[in-house]
Amino acid sequence: MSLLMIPVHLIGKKILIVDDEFKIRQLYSSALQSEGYEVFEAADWPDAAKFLISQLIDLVVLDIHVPIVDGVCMSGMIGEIDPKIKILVASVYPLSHQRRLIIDADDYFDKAEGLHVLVDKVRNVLSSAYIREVE
Amino acid sequence: MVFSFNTLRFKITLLSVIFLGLILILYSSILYYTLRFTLYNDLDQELIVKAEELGNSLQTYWREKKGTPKSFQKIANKVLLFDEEQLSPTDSGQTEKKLFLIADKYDLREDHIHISKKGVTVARSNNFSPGLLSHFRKHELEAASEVVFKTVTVDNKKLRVLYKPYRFFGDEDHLIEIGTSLKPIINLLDKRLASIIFSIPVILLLTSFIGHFLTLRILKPVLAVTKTAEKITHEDLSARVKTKHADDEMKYLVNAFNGMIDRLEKSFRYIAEFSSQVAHELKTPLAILRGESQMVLKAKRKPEEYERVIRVNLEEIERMIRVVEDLLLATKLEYDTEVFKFELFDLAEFMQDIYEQSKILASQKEMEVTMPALAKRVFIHGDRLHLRRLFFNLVDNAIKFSPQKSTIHIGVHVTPNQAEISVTDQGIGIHPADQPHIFKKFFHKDPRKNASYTGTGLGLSLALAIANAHRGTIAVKSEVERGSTFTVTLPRAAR
Repeated sequence: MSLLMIPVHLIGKKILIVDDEFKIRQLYSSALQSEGYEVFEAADWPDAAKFLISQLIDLVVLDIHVPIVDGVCMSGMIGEIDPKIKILVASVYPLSHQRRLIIDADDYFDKAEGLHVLVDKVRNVLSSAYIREVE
Repeated sequence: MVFSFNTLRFKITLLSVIFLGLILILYSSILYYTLRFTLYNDLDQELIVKAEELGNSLQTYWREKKGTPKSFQKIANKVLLFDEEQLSPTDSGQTEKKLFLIADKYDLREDHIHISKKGVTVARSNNFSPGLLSHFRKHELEAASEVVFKTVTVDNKKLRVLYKPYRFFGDEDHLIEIGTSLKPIINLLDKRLASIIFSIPVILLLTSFIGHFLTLRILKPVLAVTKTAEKITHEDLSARVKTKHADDEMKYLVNAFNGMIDRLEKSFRYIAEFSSQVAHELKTPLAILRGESQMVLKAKRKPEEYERVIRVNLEEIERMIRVVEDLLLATKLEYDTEVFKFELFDLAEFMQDIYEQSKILASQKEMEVTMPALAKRVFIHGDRLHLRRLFFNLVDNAIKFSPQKSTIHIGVHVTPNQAEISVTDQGIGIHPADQPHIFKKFFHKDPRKNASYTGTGLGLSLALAIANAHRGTIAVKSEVERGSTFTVTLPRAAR
């Protein structure tokens, strides 16, 4: 069922989930995979960097509360690797708080909002990026 | 500030005016009556001298005139006129001179003089009115043998009168009576009284003004504190009272007030941080619960898939319960000392129990636990249940952060005053930068949370709270990738 849920041009877009919670990673991964994206998982910055360098990642679903290198630092470093990579902040912090912490992300997601909101936000961010690319 | 009778300023001013007024009235009264007493006393002494000088002069004059007792009355009447023409000079004239000298010196011409014998007038001065005579008579009897002073009012004039027995030519029955006007004294006293009555209200008025401004000056920092306190809200706790111009005593107040706001600000920041952490800790499992449930309901699944989701959800529910329970316990440990039930117990026996249980826990990761047997009995005054929790938290951490098949060592070192229990692991260690923070609430040092992760981030903060409640401490020594040693120090029970 799920392959039909996103536009064809978004199928196969590469998404990296950075979260220290195994269960969250697993959950988001299966939700986004079932939509037709190619999904990678990283628990911390070294893992994330590995994927960012080896794969042409289109979007990072980024947690803020991550040990050692937190999401705020990571968002800056992702921009340095490739400014075209979209960032969707996903945290349990309220959205206003997230916006204050990471100013220039493409969208923000409160983990308590539910999976369908995440899926919608991922699609919107990727679509707007695609439209800009085509223009 | 609106004027009100209930202000400190008004009360201080009023009280100081009342007390100063009372003191002034008392002080002035004492001064006034002392002056009055002194003036009357001086006057009385002068009257005695007058009477004696007059009597002596009269007798001398009479003797020199070679007078007889019969002619005494005539001579005395002449003398009491104090008129040069009336007196015939004696041989030398010295006696007359002396007589006039005394009359001038003591103002005898102004006085009312009466000499009597057994109540019968012998001689009297010109100004001696009949009205005076009746007054004089009243006291003649009691003055027969001693000196008597009286104050009488005749024709609206106040007189001080002296009755003094005098022996003319050896005759005891003569009485010299001299009345002198009290007008100078009364005038002086009246002036003094008027100046007192006028000056007291003036002084009190001045005092009230001074008191008013002094209290205003003293209370200025209090007003500043009030204004600052009004400015402070839970959103902005940054306001402080300036101490620059305050007096030392007021500085204490201002400093205490500023210190209180400092602590308030800290607590507010702590609460804000703490509640966001609590939200974070509870929101993550809730996000998983919601996500997993949404995910599994999207389509028809195999029974195993439902089972997996329910198992995951159950784990998350248990995790939330643990967080909530640990939070409640942490709050209790901090604010409710009655949580602890202290009793005396043997540490050796207690640690043996911990050791046995730790071995079971460690066996899941095929780890070994070692603990040398404790030779002698060491007594601790403490809450066994909570101390168990403390040590299991440490052992739990040691197991969690150690590789499979490694060893955990529990050591007990006893000094005369305290017991040191250490838990050493061969785990991943703690980064030096993290070491100061590990006892804070919700500190997670676990860099890779995995499916078996069960921590609430409260274990070490609870352990520290329990140790502190036993007047003990927890110290940590750690090297990254080599392992950590947590040492709990507890005071030994005095036996």
